[in-house]
Amino acid sequence: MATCYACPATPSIKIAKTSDPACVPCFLNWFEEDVHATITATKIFSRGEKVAIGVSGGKDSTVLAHTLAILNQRYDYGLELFLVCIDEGIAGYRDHSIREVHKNQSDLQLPLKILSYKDLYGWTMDEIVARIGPKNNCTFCGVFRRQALDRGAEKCGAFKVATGHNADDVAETVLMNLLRGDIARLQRSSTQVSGSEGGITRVKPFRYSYQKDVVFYAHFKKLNYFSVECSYSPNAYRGLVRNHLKAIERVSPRVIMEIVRSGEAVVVPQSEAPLIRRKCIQCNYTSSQELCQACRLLSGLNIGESTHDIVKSTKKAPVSTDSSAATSNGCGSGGGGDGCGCNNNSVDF
Amino acid sequence: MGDDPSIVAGRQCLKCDLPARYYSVNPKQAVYCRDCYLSMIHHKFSYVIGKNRVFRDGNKRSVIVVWRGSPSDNFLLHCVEMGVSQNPHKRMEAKPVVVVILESVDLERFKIEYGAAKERELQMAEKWDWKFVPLYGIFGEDVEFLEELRFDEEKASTLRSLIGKSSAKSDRLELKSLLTELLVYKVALKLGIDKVMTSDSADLTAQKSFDAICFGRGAKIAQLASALDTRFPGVTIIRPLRDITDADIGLSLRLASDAEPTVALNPQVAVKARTIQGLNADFLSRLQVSGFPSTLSSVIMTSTKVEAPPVPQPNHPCLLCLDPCPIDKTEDSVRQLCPSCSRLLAAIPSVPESFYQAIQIGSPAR
Repeated sequence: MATCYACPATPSIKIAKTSDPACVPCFLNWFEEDVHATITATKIFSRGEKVAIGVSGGKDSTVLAHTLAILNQRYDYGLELFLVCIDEGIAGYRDHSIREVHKNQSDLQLPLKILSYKDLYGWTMDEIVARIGPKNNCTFCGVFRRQALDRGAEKCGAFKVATGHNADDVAETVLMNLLRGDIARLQRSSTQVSGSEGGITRVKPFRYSYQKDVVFYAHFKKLNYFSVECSYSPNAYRGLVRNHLKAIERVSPRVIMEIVRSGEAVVVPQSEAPLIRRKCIQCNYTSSQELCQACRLLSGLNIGESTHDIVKSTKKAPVSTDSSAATSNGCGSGGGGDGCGCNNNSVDF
Repeated sequence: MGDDPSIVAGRQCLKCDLPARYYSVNPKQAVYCRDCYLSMIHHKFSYVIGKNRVFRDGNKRSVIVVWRGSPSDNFLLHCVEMGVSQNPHKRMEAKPVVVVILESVDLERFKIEYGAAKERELQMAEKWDWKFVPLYGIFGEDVEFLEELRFDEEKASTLRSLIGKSSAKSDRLELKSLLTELLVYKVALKLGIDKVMTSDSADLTAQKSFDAICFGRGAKIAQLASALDTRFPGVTIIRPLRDITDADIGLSLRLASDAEPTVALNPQVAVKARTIQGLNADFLSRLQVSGFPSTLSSVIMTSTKVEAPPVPQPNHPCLLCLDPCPIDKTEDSVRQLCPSCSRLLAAIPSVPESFYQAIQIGSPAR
């Protein structure tokens, strides 16, 4: 008869990452030790740091908060932990999960900061979706949430944000960025620590933990979490990739870690990666351009352009038929100003 | 890609005045008459050759063309044949040597495979040198070409024990792919030819990128997706069909009425869906045809833009994939395998010790 990998007890589950049979206590211990091994190997924390844990009430962030609290105490990381929750304003989804966040906060006795899209940006996700329709929702939400997490961390005095992204999430992102041709994101998605140039760094202590193991941990620890999919996510491209990843994981469970390793092995030539870091002229958030992406998306929302800054425009700049509008430098379209046809002062039909 | 009358009805060829009948990846943008379609497809082949100056690098003009009986292999032969028989101004200055990889591990299928390859050789209008080498030949000290039908049961059984079983199918397929690449490299070294053409289509190239990612070989995707693959010292792998989809290849063969076997003997993508390779192929082709027509080209272009991290010195090449790996990072320093290959072989049950000995004896990395 099979026994637990670490003791003579009868196993209750199979660890997803290692395929070893385990009893519940040994699994819980294994999971915590595995996360500890990830933290020490990737050196993502320093003693005395303030760390904001992004919590949503879902299983990943709930397990992250509990695990970090346990490991912080067990191994004396010396970290000061905070919980930061973002309310996107999705009725029937986020309002329910925030209740779980409050329960976690009272269990862990950690300070909690909740920021809402409405307060930060003047829009809830429900209002955004009502304006732009069912496509590109995740683009808005992702951009807004990242910035909101950073702002929440700043309010706590923290310069590091820990998120519950697990190995499955990292693997999905690697495949997705390969499919979409996003070279810069392909590299960023696989780094241990991201965003360090901009001030607030983001770390993923669960980057080598399998989603199934996170779910098992939450279940056996009887943690409170909200497990309903976001109502706007079924149309997401990521869903296609996620289904494919689940299919290949069923064939070979180790494929998740192999994809994560592959992502880490990839290097983007410097010319492909953005180099400039500055402050947004509107909201002072770190940005590689004059206006940060959140402000650009908001400007589109506010003028009623639902695809502003999401879809590349293939329309050429209009050639002016008004001779007074043509200047010696042209209208500015085309490279270098003088390269357009405006100087000709004629329109050929 | 295809010839659906409802899509081309009433439209004119993009290149000439004739009514359009065929289209490639994006029918909204381009539809073609028969001749212009074939010309467009063939131009993709010649563009890869010309842009990379494959036969104008001052080196020898001999090139190995790998053939295993698939439609894309036949299309590659057809393109090379067309290329070398053009007028002197446009002619591809190549001296092809066709290398047939016989993959079967049981005698009866081996005979069928050998016979079909011989028949294909006879069908060729151009008389080129054809070399026959069994896949199990990877285990020899030296590559031996078959002058006549001959089957080595001992070596075949070693190969059978590695790739012929049903457990860990995906890993066995990946191993087979690595062994095939290694064999082609050994053949090229033996023949003293520094160029090898393979018939990797857009579908297969994109799938190989995904497969590499799934087996921890992300560092190699730039080379795997590139038109010129320089992973193997002294030999360049050329993928002139990299930008042509399987559907375009099938349509082109049909239009050209080229002679081809009705059944692909060992089609490169004829894997069961319950393998990582099959699922990747299926996923990419479904995306391609269901609203994301740039999927294959995006994967290929993205793959070619990334790099492998620099390998610190000292290093040695992995015995199986020839990847340079730092000596202190080799998980299996006795067997001289990179971490990815070590994990791959560890996932395959009961790899015989004779395999490691055989691969060590015959490896060009030694």
